[in-house]
Amino acid sequence: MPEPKIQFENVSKNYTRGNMVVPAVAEFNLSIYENEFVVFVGPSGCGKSTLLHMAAGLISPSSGTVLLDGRAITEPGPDRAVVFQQFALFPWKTVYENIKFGLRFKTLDEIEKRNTVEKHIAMMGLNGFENSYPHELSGGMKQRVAIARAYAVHPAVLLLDEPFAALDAQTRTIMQEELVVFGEEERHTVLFITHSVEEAIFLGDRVVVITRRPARIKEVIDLKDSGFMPDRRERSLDEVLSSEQFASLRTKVWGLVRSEISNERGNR
Amino acid sequence: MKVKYASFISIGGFILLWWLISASGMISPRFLPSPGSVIISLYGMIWEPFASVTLQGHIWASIQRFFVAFVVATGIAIPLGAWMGWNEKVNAVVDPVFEVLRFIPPIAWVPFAILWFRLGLKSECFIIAIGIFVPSLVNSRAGIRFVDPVLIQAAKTLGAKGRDILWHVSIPWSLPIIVGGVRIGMGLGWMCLVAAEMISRPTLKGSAGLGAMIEVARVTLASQYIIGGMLVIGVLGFAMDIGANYFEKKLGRWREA
Repeated sequence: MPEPKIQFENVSKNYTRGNMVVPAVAEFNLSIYENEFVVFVGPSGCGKSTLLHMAAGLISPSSGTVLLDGRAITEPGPDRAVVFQQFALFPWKTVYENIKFGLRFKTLDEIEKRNTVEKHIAMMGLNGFENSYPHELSGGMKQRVAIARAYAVHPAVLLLDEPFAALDAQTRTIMQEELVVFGEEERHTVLFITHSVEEAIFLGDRVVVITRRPARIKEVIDLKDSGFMPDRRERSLDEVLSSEQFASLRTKVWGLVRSEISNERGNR
Repeated sequence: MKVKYASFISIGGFILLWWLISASGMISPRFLPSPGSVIISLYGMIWEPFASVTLQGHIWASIQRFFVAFVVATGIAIPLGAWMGWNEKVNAVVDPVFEVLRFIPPIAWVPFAILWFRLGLKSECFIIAIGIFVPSLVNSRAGIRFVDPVLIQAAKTLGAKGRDILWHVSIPWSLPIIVGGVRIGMGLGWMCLVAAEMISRPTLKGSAGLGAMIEVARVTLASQYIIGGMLVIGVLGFAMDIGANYFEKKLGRWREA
């Protein structure tokens, strides 16, 4: 068994609202291995973003540890770059400057920095937009810049927090396909959060269904072992979506997610 | 009618109304001089000094005072405000005192300004500086304090730490807000300038400044110079605000959309 890249070890997180303690994550255990694409899917507000923020080091667990290469994560850092749902671009900086931002804190000479930025501009199809400002770009383009910015710091793990949730359906499809292509070009360990079952099955090597609050693992579905279209990454999303295997997986995963949502309803 | 002509009509109408009232003879020219006499007096002042100083001399004296006060006030208020916005402890220490002091009108400082600095440039600058200081500090603090938190998170995950975040995220993000505060402060300071100059007991012999000019005109009942001084103050203040507004818009370009 290889060493895990990211490891959630008995992780719990409680928030306090006034006198009330609200558990967001409870006794969460999971290992993510090198070059693995892991997707957390669950009902909205289930605490899956809290898990990602803990891996990012933006919030700390109430108990337990999140580890990167066996070392406890205590603060944010470029080895775990994050792509946020709200893009989080620096609006006063151009596309070029945004992508360069993280390189400022690395020991690279100017030529290496420029080459890195230009490589990622080309990779994300942003040529011709180098000098545009974020407010001049569409949502899809903004998220391309954010992804390029995260890739440019060469993170050990890429953390994506519902990155396509704010995009329109067409743009989302294109971005999902492109993300797969980049994943092939530059193998990465990825933790991807979504509430979309289709997105989870299309992108993930492993899909982790999360329960409603407090977040626990409902079920882990390993798509590599399941024999589900090993070449799906080379196909279009439409093609994958219309396959029979996909339909049965979708029914299975959606059933798991749905039971969590109706559970919540039943308890109210 | 195009909107851009509206301002000409507004100003033209105002002058016309003024002229009609003064020409009707209802009010003595001593209480309301005609627009013509005001323009002639101002024009004449370019060569013939009033209160021992030419028009440009008065203007220059006021601008100098204002400039000195501006540099001192923003030089302290912006960094202090930023520090208060950045560090909650600093804010906790400075804020209670500031919250009380900020509501004291600058003019109320006049007696102490005179006691501390005596009459003259320093005391006048002090009054003006207080006017500029307060809004500059308030906006500087608010700008740094209310930076979009997701931008700070993004910067941290890209490797920025502590001071990097202040310099590369908080300050650029706040700049348009800070300039907005300075702009409000400049308007306030400009009003204080005139008051400060009037209070400094100007005399006929060599008291320069637009406020001093008005005060001397009041004492000598030269009402066309009073209105002339008021007009110049209004026009200069307006011009200054246009400049500051342009600067503010330019810095805040990225806020559009």
